[in-house]
Amino acid sequence: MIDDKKIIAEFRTAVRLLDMQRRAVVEARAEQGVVDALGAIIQHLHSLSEAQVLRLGSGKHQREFAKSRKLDAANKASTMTLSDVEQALNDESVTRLQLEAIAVGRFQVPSGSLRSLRNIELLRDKIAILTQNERAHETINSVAKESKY
Amino acid sequence: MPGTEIIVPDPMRRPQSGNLYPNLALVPAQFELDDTEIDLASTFFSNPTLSDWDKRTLLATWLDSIDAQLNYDYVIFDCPPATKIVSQNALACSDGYIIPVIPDELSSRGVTHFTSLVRTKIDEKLEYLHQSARVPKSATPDSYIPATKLAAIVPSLVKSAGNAASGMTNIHTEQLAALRRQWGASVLTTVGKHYIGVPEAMNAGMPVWNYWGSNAKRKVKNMMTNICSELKGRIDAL
Repeated sequence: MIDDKKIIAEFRTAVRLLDMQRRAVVEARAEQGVVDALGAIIQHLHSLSEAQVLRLGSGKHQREFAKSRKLDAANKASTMTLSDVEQALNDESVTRLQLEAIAVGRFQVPSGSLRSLRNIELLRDKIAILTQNERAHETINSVAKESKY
Repeated sequence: MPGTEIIVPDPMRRPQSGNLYPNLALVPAQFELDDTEIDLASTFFSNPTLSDWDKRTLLATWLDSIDAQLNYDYVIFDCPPATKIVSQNALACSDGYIIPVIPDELSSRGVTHFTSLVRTKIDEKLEYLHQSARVPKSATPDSYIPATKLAAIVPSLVKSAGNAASGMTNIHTEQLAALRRQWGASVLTTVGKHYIGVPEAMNAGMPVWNYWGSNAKRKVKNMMTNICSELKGRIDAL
C-alpha cells in the first residue's frame, strides 16, 4: 500500500533541493537565461497539485499506485448485485477502467485476458454474458422450486 | 432379488502387483441395467404409489439383504449424470452425493439442475411416496436415507496454462470462480487437472498410484491423493 502523503512530502523536498541548487547557480554568476529557466521550472513544480505530483511519482510508485487503485475498485465491485452490474452496463458514462474492475472484482475474469477485448463494447458484451450466465442459474433454481413432483 | 453372488471380492488382485486393495469389493455394471431402467419405468404392480416407492428403494432393500451396514465402511455408487430410476435408487440409500464437474458454463448449469432435482424430484418425492403409500416402518429399508446431502463438487479435467497467474486457462479460471461463488465450501479445494497420467492409468486398469507409466508423475499422484483425502473427510462428516 502506497502512502500518498509520503510521496508528496518527498517530492516537495526534492523541489526545495532544486531551489537551493538554483541559488548556488546564481552565486556562481551563471548566465541569466539559464537562471531564469531554472526558476521557471521550479515554479512550475511548486504549482503542481497533489494528484499531479502522485502521477509524476517514480515508475514503481506510479505502477503500484495504479495497481492499488485497480485493486480497490475491484474490491468494491465484488459486492455488486447483478442488478447493479446491469445498471452499470447500461450507463454510457461508465469508463473502461470501471468495467474492468467489475469484470475482475465481480466475476474474477483474469485481468490479463482483458487485453484481448480490444474495445469497450467487447468488454460490455463479456460482462453481459457473465451476468446472463449467473441469471440462468437463478432461473434453473426457481423452475425446480415451482415444478415439484 | 440377487444375493451376494453379484459382488466381486478383491477386484484389484493382479498377478504382478499382488492384491492392491484386499478390502475392496465391486458390483460391476451390466448392459442389462438399461433393460432394468426401461422395465422399471413401464411396470406397475398393484397400488401405483406403493409401486413407485418400491421401484425406487430396490437398492436400499438389497443393501439391507446383504447386511451392508455391518459389512462395509463405505458404499460408493458410480452413477451416470442423469436422474433415472436406477440413479434414484442409489440416491435413496445414500447419505451424500459427489458431483464431478468440468468448469464450463453448461456443465456448471448441470450442477444447479442436478442439486435441485435431488432435493425436489428425488428426496421430497420419495418422502411423499413413503407417506402417501403409508409404508409401515417394518417395510421401510433400514438403508433408506430420506435427505441426501451434497458432499462435494469436484472440479475435474481442468486445463493448465503455464503463463497464467492462476495456472489454468482463462475460461476455467472464470468458471471455477463462478462455481466457488455459487457453491462456496462445497467445491473441493483441490482442482482435478487434466493430466494424461489419469486416463492412462485407468486404461491400464490400475490406480494412478500403482501405475508404472511415465505420465503418472508425482504431481498427478499428489493431486489424486489430495482429492481422495478431501473427499474422505467430507464423506466422514456427513
